[in-house]
Amino acid sequence: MRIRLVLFTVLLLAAPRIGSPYKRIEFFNIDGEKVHLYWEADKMPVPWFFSNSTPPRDFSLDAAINATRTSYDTWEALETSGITFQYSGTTNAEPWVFFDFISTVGFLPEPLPVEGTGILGATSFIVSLLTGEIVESDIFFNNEVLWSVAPNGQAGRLDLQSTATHEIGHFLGLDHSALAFMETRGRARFVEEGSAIMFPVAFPRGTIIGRTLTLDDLTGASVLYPAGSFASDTATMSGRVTKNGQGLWGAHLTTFNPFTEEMIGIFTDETGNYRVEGLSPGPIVVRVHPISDGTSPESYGFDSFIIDLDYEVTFHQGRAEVTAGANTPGVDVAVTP
Amino acid sequence: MSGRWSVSGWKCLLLASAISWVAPTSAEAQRLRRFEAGFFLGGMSVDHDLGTVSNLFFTTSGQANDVSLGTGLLGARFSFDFSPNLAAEASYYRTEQTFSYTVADREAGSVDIGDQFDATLQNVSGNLVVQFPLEIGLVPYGTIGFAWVQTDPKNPIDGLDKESSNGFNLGGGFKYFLPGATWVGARFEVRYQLLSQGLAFAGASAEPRNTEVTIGAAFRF
Repeated sequence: MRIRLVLFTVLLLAAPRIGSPYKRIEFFNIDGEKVHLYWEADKMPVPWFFSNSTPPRDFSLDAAINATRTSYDTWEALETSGITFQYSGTTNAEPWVFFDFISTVGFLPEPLPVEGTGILGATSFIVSLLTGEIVESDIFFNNEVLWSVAPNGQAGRLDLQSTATHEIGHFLGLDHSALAFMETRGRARFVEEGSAIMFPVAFPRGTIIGRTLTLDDLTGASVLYPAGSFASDTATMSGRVTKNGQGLWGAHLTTFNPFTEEMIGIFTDETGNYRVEGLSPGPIVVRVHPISDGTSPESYGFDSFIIDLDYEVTFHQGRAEVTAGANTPGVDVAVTP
Repeated sequence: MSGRWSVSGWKCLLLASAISWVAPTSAEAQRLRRFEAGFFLGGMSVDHDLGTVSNLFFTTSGQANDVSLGTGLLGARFSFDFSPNLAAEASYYRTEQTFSYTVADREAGSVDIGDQFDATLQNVSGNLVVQFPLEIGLVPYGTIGFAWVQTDPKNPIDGLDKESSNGFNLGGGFKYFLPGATWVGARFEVRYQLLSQGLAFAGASAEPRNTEVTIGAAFRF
């Protein structure tokens, strides 16, 4: 069968944007079916290379490789996710050279001509238009940025390992998450600790918060590549978000279990429906809010002109109890205009 | 001396005994029947906070709802009188508890999101009862003792098993036995209970305090 391939890019931007809970990168294939990006099991461990074409400015290539390898290890260490990676050495190939069919990580001297400013890094994919299977994925880091590979971070510099962890989340097939809160300090805004690693805005300079995955991040990886008894031990919840009786597209729905403190989320689809997998069993608090707080629908792959942002934060009233290995349907929310 | 009343001493004793069994005073009835069994129904004013837990967007608070007076709380008791004024009593009751949440959201403010889950509460207690039988059939009493309580969510909650707790009881009430039927009576009791732990959110702890109000029947034998 002829494989039709398409190029995707996902960017990590330094400018304040919002995030949402875990979200797979999805698209409608040539048959009109919604598919998501994923690595085929028989391709694992997924090989990746580090480009030596552009060395980092302030530390050795080995230091950059080690930071990146640690980030891959962070995702691979998840007990509930089965994806594995294989560092395959250095390569002369530059990252973002497409259709060479090797997955390359590396620095580029100038930001690519992509939309936006303050780009720290980005991940690209070559995927099958039929199935969403990833056949190549490259990650680049902007070499104009002041990076740090210090074990505990370095004041005024961004942590390379944190950014790599975010980009490798895309490498898995995860989209941006909106599970984050932006704190205002003076005239600046910062991503609060506890926000998802897959939030499209980096954590503050000098911190290493972004090295540690949140439940939202690991749930995303586990839903994509479930391992062990993840599917049978966790629960699914589904429902519909409406405004004035009509399905609401792109609404950000957050789930929270106060007994486990687990918080994950999802966006509603074009009909207002949603389906959250990977929940811990128990009573769930469900909150719906519009994309806001400095990020835009584009940050999550939506077109701004079709996403309604004009409604209040609304909670699901009543019970939303979920049980392991089952779907709890009908957890609907009618938002307050 | 009239021959009519000329009866032997042992017959007098027998007659007196028979009369006393036919119509003893209520206080005497208490002494003659040392065991008591009964059943009850009731309600409960509950002070059981699940605690508060926060995330990026909101803080969740949870609490147990009161149990309305009725058949939602059903139980049984059994007691033995050491003396007319002191008894030992064991009781068991079972009730359904409903827990509700309130959230304090950074943007939406305080929102009551209603009932969230149910749990079954079982209570076993052992008490000393100090009672004061009165001639009119009323028996006011006070009670003190220990309790063992198990709270079991009806649907499994991740990381939360059945919660067992020990506690302390303090209460009182009264029983009323009809003079003509001293083997059966009605009983009303109010009991305060302080428990060492209860269901709680992650990182929180709970010390439930319940005020039970029960009415029931008591059978002495």
